[in-house]
Amino acid sequence: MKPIIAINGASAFDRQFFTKGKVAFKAYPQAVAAAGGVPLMVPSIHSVDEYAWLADGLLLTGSLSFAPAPAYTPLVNKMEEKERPIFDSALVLAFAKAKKPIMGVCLGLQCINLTFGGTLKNHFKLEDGVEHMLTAHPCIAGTESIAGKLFGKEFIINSRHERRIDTLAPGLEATAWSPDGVIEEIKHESLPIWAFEWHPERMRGDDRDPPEGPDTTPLFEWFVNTCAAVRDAE
Amino acid sequence: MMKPRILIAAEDSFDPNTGNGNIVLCKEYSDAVYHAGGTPLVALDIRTAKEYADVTDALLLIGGPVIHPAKYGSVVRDFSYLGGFSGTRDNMDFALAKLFLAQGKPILGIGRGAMVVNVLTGGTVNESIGEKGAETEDTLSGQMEKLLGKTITFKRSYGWGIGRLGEGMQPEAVAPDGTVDAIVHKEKPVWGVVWHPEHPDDGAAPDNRLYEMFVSAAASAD
Repeated sequence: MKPIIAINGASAFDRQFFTKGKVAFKAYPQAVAAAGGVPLMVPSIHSVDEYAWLADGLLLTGSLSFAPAPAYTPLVNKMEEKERPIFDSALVLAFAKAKKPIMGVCLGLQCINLTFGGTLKNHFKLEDGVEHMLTAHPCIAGTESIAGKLFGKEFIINSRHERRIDTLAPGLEATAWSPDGVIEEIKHESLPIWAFEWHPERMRGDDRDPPEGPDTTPLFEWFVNTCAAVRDAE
Repeated sequence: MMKPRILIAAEDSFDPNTGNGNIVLCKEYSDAVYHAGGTPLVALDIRTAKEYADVTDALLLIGGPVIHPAKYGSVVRDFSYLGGFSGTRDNMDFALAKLFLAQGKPILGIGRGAMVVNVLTGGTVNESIGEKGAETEDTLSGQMEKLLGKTITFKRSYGWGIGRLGEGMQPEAVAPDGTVDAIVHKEKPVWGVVWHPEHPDDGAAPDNRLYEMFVSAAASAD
Protein backbone atom coordinates (compact mmCIF):
# COMPACT_ATOMS: atom_id res chain seq x y z
CA MET A 1 0.00 0.00 0.00
CA LYS A 2 1.25 3.45 -0.97
CA PRO A 3 1.83 5.79 2.00
CA ILE A 4 -0.89 8.38 2.64
CA ILE A 5 0.46 11.93 2.91
CA ALA A 6 -1.76 14.51 4.62
CA ILE A 7 -1.51 18.03 3.20
CA ASN A 8 -2.70 21.06 5.17
CA GLY A 9 -4.58 23.67 3.18
CA ALA A 10 -4.25 27.44 3.21
CA SER A 11 -7.20 29.77 3.79
CA ALA A 12 -9.46 30.43 0.81
CA PHE A 13 -12.83 31.49 -0.45
CA ASP A 14 -14.53 29.12 -2.85
CA ARG A 15 -15.70 30.27 -6.28
CA GLN A 16 -19.30 29.12 -6.11
CA PHE A 17 -20.53 30.58 -2.83
CA PHE A 18 -17.64 32.90 -1.89
CA THR A 19 -17.56 31.32 1.55
CA LYS A 20 -14.62 30.27 3.73
CA GLY A 21 -12.64 27.23 2.80
CA LYS A 22 -9.26 25.59 2.29
CA VAL A 23 -6.96 25.58 -0.72
CA ALA A 24 -4.07 23.36 -1.80
CA PHE A 25 -1.64 24.55 -4.47
CA LYS A 26 -1.55 21.64 -6.95
CA ALA A 27 2.27 21.49 -7.12
CA TYR A 28 2.33 19.89 -3.62
CA PRO A 29 -0.01 16.92 -4.30
CA GLN A 30 1.48 16.50 -7.76
CA ALA A 31 4.95 16.14 -6.23
CA VAL A 32 3.62 13.62 -3.67
CA ALA A 33 1.67 11.54 -6.21
CA ALA A 34 4.60 11.51 -8.65
CA ALA A 35 6.81 10.23 -5.80
CA GLY A 36 4.46 7.30 -5.08
CA GLY A 37 2.42 8.78 -2.22
CA VAL A 38 -1.31 9.32 -1.85
CA PRO A 39 -1.92 13.04 -1.22
CA LEU A 40 -5.05 13.98 0.77
CA MET A 41 -5.98 17.47 1.95
CA VAL A 42 -7.10 17.54 5.59
CA PRO A 43 -9.63 20.38 5.95
CA SER A 44 -11.11 20.15 9.46
CA ILE A 45 -9.46 21.24 12.71
CA HIS A 46 -11.89 18.99 14.60
CA SER A 47 -10.48 15.89 12.91
CA VAL A 48 -6.75 16.44 13.48
CA ASP A 49 -6.31 13.28 15.61
CA GLU A 50 -8.10 11.13 12.99
CA TYR A 51 -5.83 12.58 10.31
CA ALA A 52 -2.70 11.74 12.32
CA TRP A 53 -4.03 8.20 12.81
CA LEU A 54 -4.96 7.67 9.15
CA ALA A 55 -2.03 9.30 7.34
CA ASP A 56 1.56 8.02 7.25
CA GLY A 57 3.09 11.50 7.04
CA LEU A 58 2.36 15.22 6.92
CA LEU A 59 3.42 17.69 4.25
CA LEU A 60 3.07 21.11 5.88
CA THR A 61 2.87 23.50 2.96
CA GLY A 62 3.91 27.08 2.38
CA SER A 63 1.50 29.97 2.43
CA LEU A 64 -0.78 30.47 -0.55
CA SER A 65 -4.23 31.70 0.33
CA PHE A 66 -6.78 32.11 -2.46
CA ALA A 67 -9.54 34.63 -3.12
CA PRO A 68 -11.61 34.24 -6.30
CA ALA A 69 -12.03 38.03 -6.62
CA PRO A 70 -9.63 40.90 -5.67
CA ALA A 71 -12.19 42.34 -3.23
CA TYR A 72 -11.82 39.22 -1.09
CA THR A 73 -8.03 39.28 -0.83
CA PRO A 74 -7.79 41.41 2.39
CA LEU A 75 -10.48 39.24 3.99
CA VAL A 76 -8.76 35.98 3.17
CA ASN A 77 -5.42 37.32 4.44
CA LYS A 78 -7.01 38.37 7.73
CA MET A 79 -8.57 34.93 8.08
CA GLU A 80 -5.22 33.29 7.25
CA GLU A 81 -3.35 35.22 9.97
CA LYS A 82 -5.82 34.19 12.63
CA GLU A 83 -6.69 30.61 11.76
CA ARG A 84 -3.76 29.09 9.92
CA PRO A 85 -1.16 29.01 12.75
CA ILE A 86 -3.67 27.36 15.10
CA PHE A 87 -4.66 24.66 12.60
CA ASP A 88 -1.13 23.99 11.34
CA SER A 89 0.32 23.78 14.87
CA ALA A 90 -2.43 21.34 15.85
CA LEU A 91 -1.43 19.13 12.91
CA VAL A 92 2.28 19.33 13.80
CA LEU A 93 1.60 18.36 17.41
CA ALA A 94 -0.71 15.46 16.43
CA PHE A 95 1.78 13.98 13.92
CA ALA A 96 4.73 14.58 16.28
CA LYS A 97 2.84 12.76 19.05
CA ALA A 98 2.16 9.86 16.67
CA LYS A 99 5.91 9.94 15.75
CA LYS A 100 4.96 10.16 12.07
CA PRO A 101 7.17 12.00 9.57
CA ILE A 102 6.60 15.69 8.86
CA MET A 103 8.06 17.66 5.96
CA GLY A 104 7.64 21.43 6.23
CA VAL A 105 7.98 23.93 3.40
CA CYS A 106 8.51 27.69 3.93
CA LEU A 107 5.64 28.73 6.26
CA GLY A 108 5.60 25.04 7.24
CA LEU A 109 9.22 25.32 8.45
CA GLN A 110 8.39 28.53 10.30
CA CYS A 111 5.31 26.95 11.89
CA ILE A 112 7.32 23.91 13.08
CA ASN A 113 9.89 26.22 14.68
CA LEU A 114 7.20 28.29 16.43
CA THR A 115 5.29 25.19 17.57
CA PHE A 116 8.36 23.80 19.35
CA GLY A 117 9.21 27.16 20.96
CA GLY A 118 11.48 28.98 18.49
CA THR A 119 11.09 32.51 17.16
CA LEU A 120 10.90 34.18 13.75
CA LYS A 121 12.11 37.49 12.40
CA ASN A 122 9.51 39.29 10.27
CA HIS A 123 10.58 41.42 7.29
CA PHE A 124 14.21 40.56 8.03
CA LYS A 125 15.36 42.04 4.73
CA LEU A 126 14.82 45.58 6.02
CA GLU A 127 17.29 44.99 8.87
CA ASP A 128 19.61 42.47 7.24
CA GLY A 129 19.60 44.10 3.78
CA VAL A 130 19.06 40.81 1.92
CA GLU A 131 16.22 40.05 -0.51
CA HIS A 132 14.62 36.59 -0.19
CA MET A 133 11.33 37.19 -2.01
CA LEU A 134 10.90 35.96 -5.60
CA THR A 135 14.60 35.44 -6.20
CA ALA A 136 17.14 32.60 -6.29
CA HIS A 137 20.45 31.91 -4.56
CA PRO A 138 22.82 29.07 -3.61
CA CYS A 139 22.02 26.69 -0.77
CA ILE A 140 25.04 25.61 1.31
CA ALA A 141 24.29 22.17 2.70
CA GLY A 142 25.83 20.80 5.91
CA THR A 143 26.63 17.13 6.39
CA GLU A 144 23.20 16.42 7.94
CA SER A 145 21.22 18.07 5.13
CA ILE A 146 18.78 15.77 3.29
CA ALA A 147 18.81 18.02 0.22
CA GLY A 148 22.62 18.06 0.38
CA LYS A 149 22.73 14.26 0.24
CA LEU A 150 20.55 14.35 -2.90
CA PHE A 151 21.76 17.47 -4.72
CA GLY A 152 25.31 18.11 -3.49
CA LYS A 153 27.08 20.49 -1.10
CA GLU A 154 25.97 23.54 -3.03
CA PHE A 155 23.02 23.96 -5.40
CA ILE A 156 20.68 26.73 -6.53
CA ILE A 157 17.27 27.17 -4.87
CA ASN A 158 14.35 29.58 -5.15
CA SER A 159 13.58 32.08 -2.42
CA ARG A 160 10.04 33.26 -1.62
CA HIS A 161 9.71 34.35 2.00
CA GLU A 162 9.45 37.50 4.14
CA ARG A 163 10.26 35.82 7.48
CA ARG A 164 13.19 33.74 8.61
CA ILE A 165 14.05 31.69 11.68
CA ASP A 166 15.54 33.91 14.38
CA THR A 167 16.14 31.48 17.24
CA LEU A 168 15.75 27.75 16.72
CA ALA A 169 13.37 25.82 18.96
CA PRO A 170 14.84 23.30 21.43
CA GLY A 171 15.31 19.97 19.62
CA LEU A 172 15.68 21.54 16.18
CA GLU A 173 18.97 22.03 14.36
CA ALA A 174 19.93 23.88 11.19
CA THR A 175 21.35 21.74 8.38
CA ALA A 176 21.62 24.16 5.42
CA TRP A 177 22.02 27.91 4.93
CA SER A 178 21.92 30.65 2.32
CA PRO A 179 25.25 32.50 1.70
CA ASP A 180 23.83 35.43 3.74
CA GLY A 181 23.11 33.23 6.75
CA VAL A 182 19.38 32.44 6.48
CA ILE A 183 18.56 28.94 7.75
CA GLU A 184 17.29 27.02 4.69
CA GLU A 185 16.80 23.53 6.16
CA ILE A 186 16.18 22.12 9.63
CA LYS A 187 15.73 18.73 11.25
CA HIS A 188 14.56 17.51 14.61
CA GLU A 189 17.19 15.75 16.74
CA SER A 190 14.92 12.82 17.70
CA LEU A 191 11.60 13.04 15.81
CA PRO A 192 11.18 12.37 12.05
CA ILE A 193 10.73 16.06 11.21
CA TRP A 194 12.48 17.95 8.42
CA ALA A 195 11.71 21.33 6.88
CA PHE A 196 12.88 23.62 4.09
CA GLU A 197 12.69 27.42 3.84
CA TRP A 198 12.77 27.17 0.01
CA HIS A 199 10.10 25.65 -2.24
CA PRO A 200 11.06 22.21 -3.62
CA GLU A 201 7.52 21.76 -5.04
CA ARG A 202 8.34 24.50 -7.57
CA MET A 203 11.52 22.78 -8.75
CA ARG A 204 10.17 19.74 -10.59
CA GLY A 205 9.72 18.90 -14.24
CA ASP A 206 10.16 21.10 -17.30
CA ASP A 207 9.31 24.52 -15.85
CA ARG A 208 11.46 24.84 -12.76
CA ASP A 209 11.91 27.84 -10.48
CA PRO A 210 14.79 28.53 -10.75
CA PRO A 211 15.74 26.84 -14.07
CA GLU A 212 19.36 26.37 -12.93
CA GLY A 213 18.27 24.42 -9.83
CA PRO A 214 18.11 20.61 -9.59
CA ASP A 215 14.90 18.66 -10.30
CA THR A 216 13.69 18.03 -6.74
CA THR A 217 11.53 14.98 -7.48
CA PRO A 218 14.04 12.80 -5.50
CA LEU A 219 13.39 14.89 -2.37
CA PHE A 220 9.68 14.00 -2.45
CA GLU A 221 10.57 10.37 -3.20
CA TRP A 222 12.83 10.41 -0.15
CA PHE A 223 10.00 11.79 2.02
CA VAL A 224 7.35 9.35 0.71
CA ASN A 225 9.79 6.42 1.16
CA THR A 226 10.62 7.62 4.68
CA CYS A 227 6.88 7.67 5.53
CA ALA A 228 6.53 4.10 4.22
CA ALA A 229 9.61 2.95 6.15
CA VAL A 230 8.39 4.49 9.44
CA ARG A 231 4.96 2.89 8.94
CA ASP A 232 6.43 -0.53 8.11
CA ALA A 233 8.78 -0.44 11.13
CA GLU A 234 5.82 -0.25 13.54
CA MET B 1 -14.93 2.87 16.54
CA MET B 2 -13.23 4.82 13.77
CA LYS B 3 -15.35 7.56 12.27
CA PRO B 4 -16.28 7.00 8.62
CA ARG B 5 -13.83 8.69 6.24
CA ILE B 6 -15.64 10.83 3.70
CA LEU B 7 -13.70 11.69 0.57
CA ILE B 8 -14.71 15.03 -0.96
CA ALA B 9 -14.08 15.76 -4.64
CA ALA B 10 -13.52 19.51 -4.43
CA GLU B 11 -13.37 22.55 -6.69
CA ASP B 12 -10.65 22.55 -9.34
CA SER B 13 -9.57 26.15 -9.57
CA PHE B 14 -6.98 28.58 -10.85
CA ASP B 15 -5.48 31.70 -9.31
CA PRO B 16 -4.86 34.35 -12.01
CA ASN B 17 -2.76 36.41 -9.57
CA THR B 18 -0.13 33.72 -9.10
CA GLY B 19 -0.72 31.42 -12.10
CA ASN B 20 -1.27 28.52 -9.71
CA GLY B 21 -3.70 25.68 -10.29
CA ASN B 22 -5.33 24.77 -7.00
CA ILE B 23 -7.95 22.62 -5.28
CA VAL B 24 -10.44 24.55 -3.13
CA LEU B 25 -12.95 23.20 -0.63
CA CYS B 26 -15.76 25.36 0.80
CA LYS B 27 -15.77 24.88 4.58
CA GLU B 28 -19.52 24.27 4.70
CA TYR B 29 -19.06 20.81 3.19
CA SER B 30 -16.32 19.70 5.59
CA ASP B 31 -18.31 21.13 8.53
CA ALA B 32 -21.47 19.28 7.41
CA VAL B 33 -19.50 16.02 7.19
CA TYR B 34 -17.83 16.56 10.56
CA HIS B 35 -21.09 17.44 12.34
CA ALA B 36 -22.72 14.36 10.80
CA GLY B 37 -20.02 12.21 12.46
CA GLY B 38 -17.55 11.75 9.62
CA THR B 39 -13.91 12.65 8.98
CA PRO B 40 -13.64 14.88 5.88
CA LEU B 41 -10.75 14.33 3.44
CA VAL B 42 -10.13 16.00 0.08
CA ALA B 43 -8.99 14.30 -3.14
CA LEU B 44 -6.05 16.13 -4.74
CA ASP B 45 -4.53 14.12 -7.59
CA ILE B 46 -6.36 11.93 -10.10
CA ARG B 47 -3.39 9.55 -10.37
CA THR B 48 -4.23 8.23 -6.91
CA ALA B 49 -8.02 7.91 -7.47
CA LYS B 50 -7.89 4.13 -6.92
CA GLU B 51 -6.06 4.55 -3.59
CA TYR B 52 -8.59 7.20 -2.48
CA ALA B 53 -11.43 4.74 -3.12
CA ASP B 54 -9.56 2.04 -1.18
CA VAL B 55 -8.78 4.08 1.96
CA THR B 56 -12.03 6.04 2.37
CA ASP B 57 -15.60 4.90 3.07
CA ALA B 58 -17.79 7.16 0.94
CA LEU B 59 -17.66 9.91 -1.68
CA LEU B 60 -19.18 13.39 -1.52
CA LEU B 61 -19.55 15.17 -4.86
CA ILE B 62 -20.15 18.89 -4.39
CA GLY B 63 -21.39 21.99 -6.24
CA GLY B 64 -19.59 23.51 -9.18
CA PRO B 65 -19.59 24.30 -12.88
CA VAL B 66 -21.52 22.61 -15.72
CA ILE B 67 -20.52 19.16 -16.94
CA HIS B 68 -19.13 18.94 -20.47
CA PRO B 69 -22.03 17.76 -22.69
CA ALA B 70 -19.81 15.06 -24.26
CA LYS B 71 -20.02 13.24 -20.91
CA TYR B 72 -23.70 12.54 -21.61
CA GLY B 73 -23.42 12.02 -25.34
CA SER B 74 -24.38 15.53 -26.38
CA VAL B 75 -22.53 18.39 -28.08
CA VAL B 76 -21.79 22.00 -27.16
CA ARG B 77 -24.26 24.20 -29.07
CA ASP B 78 -23.53 27.46 -27.27
CA PHE B 79 -20.06 28.06 -25.87
CA SER B 80 -21.31 30.59 -23.34
CA TYR B 81 -23.05 27.63 -21.67
CA LEU B 82 -19.68 26.15 -20.70
CA GLY B 83 -18.78 29.22 -18.59
CA GLY B 84 -16.53 28.04 -15.79
CA PHE B 85 -16.41 24.50 -17.20
CA SER B 86 -13.44 22.46 -15.92
CA GLY B 87 -12.17 19.39 -17.75
CA THR B 88 -9.88 18.43 -14.86
CA ARG B 89 -12.82 18.69 -12.44
CA ASP B 90 -15.00 16.51 -14.69
CA ASN B 91 -12.23 13.94 -14.94
CA MET B 92 -11.69 13.76 -11.16
CA ASP B 93 -15.40 13.62 -10.27
CA PHE B 94 -16.24 10.92 -12.81
CA ALA B 95 -13.13 8.83 -12.09
CA LEU B 96 -13.90 8.78 -8.36
CA ALA B 97 -17.66 8.26 -8.78
CA LYS B 98 -17.03 5.29 -11.09
CA LEU B 99 -14.68 3.65 -8.56
CA PHE B 100 -16.99 4.17 -5.56
CA LEU B 101 -20.01 2.94 -7.54
CA ALA B 102 -18.11 -0.21 -8.59
CA GLN B 103 -17.08 -0.88 -4.96
CA GLY B 104 -20.65 -0.31 -3.71
CA LYS B 105 -19.50 2.50 -1.43
CA PRO B 106 -21.96 5.32 -0.70
CA ILE B 107 -22.00 8.41 -2.95
CA LEU B 108 -23.84 11.64 -2.16
CA GLY B 109 -24.06 14.21 -4.95
CA ILE B 110 -24.94 17.78 -3.96
CA GLY B 111 -25.84 20.36 -6.64
CA ARG B 112 -23.53 19.61 -9.57
CA GLY B 113 -22.76 16.31 -7.80
CA ALA B 114 -26.36 15.15 -8.34
CA MET B 115 -25.94 15.69 -12.07
CA VAL B 116 -22.61 13.80 -11.97
CA VAL B 117 -24.20 10.67 -10.45
CA ASN B 118 -27.11 10.92 -12.91
CA VAL B 119 -24.77 11.19 -15.91
CA LEU B 120 -22.52 8.44 -14.53
CA THR B 121 -25.46 6.02 -14.55
CA GLY B 122 -26.37 6.91 -18.15
CA GLY B 123 -28.65 9.92 -17.61
CA THR B 124 -28.42 13.39 -19.10
CA VAL B 125 -28.32 17.04 -18.07
CA ASN B 126 -31.21 19.43 -18.71
CA GLU B 127 -29.26 22.47 -19.88
CA SER B 128 -32.04 25.02 -19.34
CA ILE B 129 -33.91 24.21 -16.18
CA GLY B 130 -35.07 27.76 -15.52
CA GLU B 131 -33.93 30.79 -13.64
CA LYS B 132 -31.02 30.59 -11.17
CA GLY B 133 -32.23 31.81 -7.77
CA ALA B 134 -35.88 30.91 -8.47
CA GLU B 135 -37.72 29.36 -5.55
CA THR B 136 -39.40 25.99 -5.93
CA GLU B 137 -41.48 23.77 -3.67
CA ASP B 138 -40.86 20.13 -4.50
CA THR B 139 -42.91 17.09 -3.53
CA LEU B 140 -40.82 14.38 -1.89
CA SER B 141 -41.28 10.62 -2.00
CA GLY B 142 -39.46 7.43 -0.95
CA GLN B 143 -36.30 7.84 1.17
CA MET B 144 -36.34 11.63 0.78
CA GLU B 145 -39.88 11.85 2.17
CA LYS B 146 -38.96 9.59 5.10
CA LEU B 147 -35.94 11.73 5.85
CA LEU B 148 -37.16 15.28 5.17
CA GLY B 149 -40.98 15.25 5.10
CA LYS B 150 -43.54 15.68 2.34
CA THR B 151 -42.14 18.80 0.68
CA ILE B 152 -38.98 20.91 0.48
CA THR B 153 -38.68 24.56 -0.54
CA PHE B 154 -35.37 25.86 -1.87
CA LYS B 155 -33.80 28.35 -4.28
CA ARG B 156 -32.16 27.04 -7.43
CA SER B 157 -28.36 27.45 -7.39
CA TYR B 158 -28.15 26.27 -11.01
CA GLY B 159 -29.76 27.12 -14.33
CA TRP B 160 -29.19 23.50 -15.36
CA GLY B 161 -30.21 20.24 -13.74
CA ILE B 162 -31.19 16.61 -13.98
CA GLY B 163 -32.42 15.54 -17.44
CA ARG B 164 -33.25 11.96 -18.46
CA LEU B 165 -32.75 9.74 -15.42
CA GLY B 166 -29.79 7.41 -15.18
CA GLU B 167 -30.24 3.64 -15.02
CA GLY B 168 -31.60 2.51 -11.65
CA MET B 169 -32.32 6.10 -10.55
CA GLN B 170 -35.68 6.98 -9.01
CA PRO B 171 -37.04 10.54 -8.80
CA GLU B 172 -37.66 11.47 -5.13
CA ALA B 173 -38.07 15.25 -5.32
CA VAL B 174 -40.18 16.65 -8.13
CA ALA B 175 -40.98 20.32 -8.84
CA PRO B 176 -44.50 21.44 -9.87
CA ASP B 177 -43.34 21.60 -13.53
CA GLY B 178 -42.10 18.00 -13.38
CA THR B 179 -38.38 18.81 -12.99
CA VAL B 180 -36.58 16.12 -10.99
CA ASP B 181 -34.45 17.62 -8.20
CA ALA B 182 -33.46 14.52 -6.21
CA ILE B 183 -32.55 11.03 -7.38
CA VAL B 184 -32.00 7.85 -5.39
CA HIS B 185 -30.59 4.59 -6.72
CA LYS B 186 -32.95 1.62 -6.41
CA GLU B 187 -30.31 -0.78 -5.08
CA LYS B 188 -27.07 1.06 -4.41
CA PRO B 189 -26.27 3.65 -1.74
CA VAL B 190 -26.28 6.54 -4.22
CA TRP B 191 -28.15 9.81 -3.72
CA GLY B 192 -28.24 13.12 -5.57
CA VAL B 193 -29.99 16.36 -4.62
CA VAL B 194 -29.70 19.60 -6.58
CA TRP B 195 -30.24 21.81 -3.52
CA HIS B 196 -27.50 22.66 -1.01
CA PRO B 197 -28.55 21.67 2.52
CA GLU B 198 -25.16 22.83 3.89
CA HIS B 199 -25.48 26.34 2.47
CA PRO B 200 -27.64 29.02 4.18
CA ASP B 201 -28.44 30.93 0.95
CA ASP B 202 -30.08 27.78 -0.35
CA GLY B 203 -33.38 29.05 1.07
CA ALA B 204 -34.23 25.79 2.82
CA ALA B 205 -34.01 25.56 6.61
CA PRO B 206 -30.54 24.61 7.92
CA ASP B 207 -30.63 20.87 7.92
CA ASN B 208 -27.92 18.24 8.34
CA ARG B 209 -30.19 15.18 8.09
CA LEU B 210 -29.11 14.31 4.56
CA TYR B 211 -25.42 14.38 5.57
CA GLU B 212 -26.22 12.35 8.71
CA MET B 213 -27.99 9.70 6.65
CA PHE B 214 -25.03 9.59 4.25
CA VAL B 215 -22.37 9.33 6.98
CA SER B 216 -24.40 6.57 8.73
CA ALA B 217 -24.53 4.66 5.44
CA ALA B 218 -20.75 5.07 5.16
CA ALA B 219 -20.34 3.68 8.70
CA SER B 220 -22.38 0.57 7.94
CA ALA B 221 -21.01 -0.03 4.43
CA ASP B 222 -18.15 -2.24 5.64
